[in-house]
Amino acid sequence: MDCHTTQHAILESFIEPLSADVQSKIDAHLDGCASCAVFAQRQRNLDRQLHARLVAPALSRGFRATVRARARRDVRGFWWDLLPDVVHFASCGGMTVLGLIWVPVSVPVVLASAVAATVLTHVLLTAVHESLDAAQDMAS
Amino acid sequence: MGDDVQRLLQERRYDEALEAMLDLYEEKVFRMAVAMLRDAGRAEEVTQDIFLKIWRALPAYDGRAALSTWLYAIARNTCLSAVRAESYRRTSPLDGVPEPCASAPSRTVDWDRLLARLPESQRYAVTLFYFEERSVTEVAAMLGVPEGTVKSQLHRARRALAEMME
Repeated sequence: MDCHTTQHAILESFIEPLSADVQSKIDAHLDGCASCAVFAQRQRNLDRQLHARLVAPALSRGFRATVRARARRDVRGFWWDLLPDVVHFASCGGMTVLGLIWVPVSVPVVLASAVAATVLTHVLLTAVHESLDAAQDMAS
Repeated sequence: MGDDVQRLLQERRYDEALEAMLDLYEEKVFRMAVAMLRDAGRAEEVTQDIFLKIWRALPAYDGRAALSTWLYAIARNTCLSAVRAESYRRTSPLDGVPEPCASAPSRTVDWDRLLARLPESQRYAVTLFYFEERSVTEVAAMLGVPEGTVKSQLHRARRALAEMME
């Protein structure tokens, strides 16, 4: 067995066990070849260190719940997420029209009040929506 | 277990199919992401993205490719996109690196730096080889290459790492 074949076999031995015959040929070569013996020793050290260093990492405990929550949000889809906002803005628009017809104050006052009320209720609605989503994620 | 997933997909029980796929592959996909991204936190986010993509693609899975082949292809492509995005985002890595100190050489090996010096394909192969408890078959499936290619990448990586450590 020459040096090239021996070193190839040594590298192969870290991937799968060698046959007894090949192993004995390697051992015989290493007895008489200092450079291959050093190569084998370095590879053994390297394998030991890589084995200690490259330990499979673990997922965090919340991983599965997060995937489920994201999948659930995905199913609901874009329009479902927008539905509360659509209903909210439509209601505000309707109330503004009714206000313009029935409330006995000037038009600019009614419009300013309507805009202020719409913005305030939108902020509140968004906060409630996000709290519900967070609660659902924690529950799962 | 793979057959169970196929059956669930045929019956269009996608929620249960996703759960079964998470049982089978979440750890392996995460390890692949860690090997490719070298950052466990980012790898977990990318693993979530991968399973969300799989979830969306489940109705279109036609069973022509093996489930693992299909899943690993999605995982690999998503990881490669994330790696590319990271490389665009990253500033010069030399900014935060201290100058080498000749008077007090460190005896500890900086494995992150040594592995980072390997070509990507070799780094992925050697990292996954140890993560997957030395299974060349599993590493080849994950990387979508023949087993012989994984073996030759492992050989080259070992030679290169041994030289770097001299």
